[in-house]
Amino acid sequence: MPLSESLLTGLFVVVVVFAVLVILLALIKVFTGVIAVIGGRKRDDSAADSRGRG
Amino acid sequence: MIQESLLKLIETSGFTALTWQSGVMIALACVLAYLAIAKKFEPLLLLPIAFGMLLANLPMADLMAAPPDESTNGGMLYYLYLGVKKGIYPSLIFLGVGAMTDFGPLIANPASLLLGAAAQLGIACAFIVATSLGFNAQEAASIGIIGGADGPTAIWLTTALAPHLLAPIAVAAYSYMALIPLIQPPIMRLLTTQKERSIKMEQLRPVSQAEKICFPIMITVLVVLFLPSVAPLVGLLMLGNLLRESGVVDRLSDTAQNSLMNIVVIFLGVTVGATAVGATFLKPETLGIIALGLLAFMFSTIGGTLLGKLMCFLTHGKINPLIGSAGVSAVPMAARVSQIEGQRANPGNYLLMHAMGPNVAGVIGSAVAAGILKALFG
Repeated sequence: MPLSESLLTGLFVVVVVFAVLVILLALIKVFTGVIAVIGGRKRDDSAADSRGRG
Repeated sequence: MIQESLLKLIETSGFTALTWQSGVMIALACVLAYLAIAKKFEPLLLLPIAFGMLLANLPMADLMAAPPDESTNGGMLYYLYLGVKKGIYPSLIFLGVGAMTDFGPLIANPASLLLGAAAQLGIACAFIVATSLGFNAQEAASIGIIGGADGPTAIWLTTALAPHLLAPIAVAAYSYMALIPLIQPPIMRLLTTQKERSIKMEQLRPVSQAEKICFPIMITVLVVLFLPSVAPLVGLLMLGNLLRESGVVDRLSDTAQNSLMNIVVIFLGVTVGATAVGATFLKPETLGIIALGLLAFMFSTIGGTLLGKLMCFLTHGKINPLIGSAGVSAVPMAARVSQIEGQRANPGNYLLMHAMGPNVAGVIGSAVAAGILKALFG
């Protein structure tokens, strides 16, 4: 394999690994945000309940 | 009559078939066994590998011999080796690794994924150097994956791309993983300042069980959609983790991380060791593979540490760059090295949980890199 081709392949591997993990990073951020919102709502509901019960 | 019987016994014994290559390999197996037992270098795998190597190099035993025809049996290790050949054992080990791993630090600090990606730099560097040394693309990819510092992944990819190099690559990968506490610290110290190494990081946020349960499912769907070829590794890694985090199948989780894992480690170690036969192992290219493996490990450490430095700069000193080197997989050894180096610089520094994020990200990163290489050259 010529050097230029192997350099490109090496670079390609690094870039694709980064791209896949950056996409995962973004999706984890979204997903944890959604879970936090759902969890936050639940906490708000329970807080409202407890206030309601006085 | 007695003389004839004695002569026949001697002729059919292994002694007559001993060669210098088998002698060297038996000695090498004994050295590896010594390192595993006396020096405790990755003993769980190095000891079975050493004994497999010993068994395969005892002439006339033919433990790895393929059956000559359908009516005759092959050697016992030949059948066990099918689990390696078909990529079953590495995936089952990933099941156990998933069941043993807490992805909480990664979920709490998803930016760790970037460090896990940067620490795959050694794969690319070793690939480039290997091709320039005359290895073909498949062989270079298999050598490069040593830089992922992940034994099962290295075995999985090498079996698919360059099975004739399996023994030296497995031995190099596991030997260097055992040597991480010696390889990484000088590079980490060279690339960071005392001030950077002393940085104390804020405690990670608690991660809910819902997040931990959804995480493996989400990662499986996404990674396998991106790279279908890596489904056996990532799929079983995440299944193991789901067994652990679901909290409803403790027996399965326990089996995956203990009994099953131990059984597979024995089969994998012995059969991988048994592929190291003198005639194929004792070649100049083996030394090249061992040198390139070290290069791959060093560059992976450099990649992770340098990105750690960059993240330290961008966050105005909130991230200790030492956690970057943990992006090479080798769970949890690489994270422990970050912890030790952090405490050496500042005794009040506790980096272990912070380093576990990049560490488990490295497992995902090296599996992704292996999937890309398999897709390119498989």
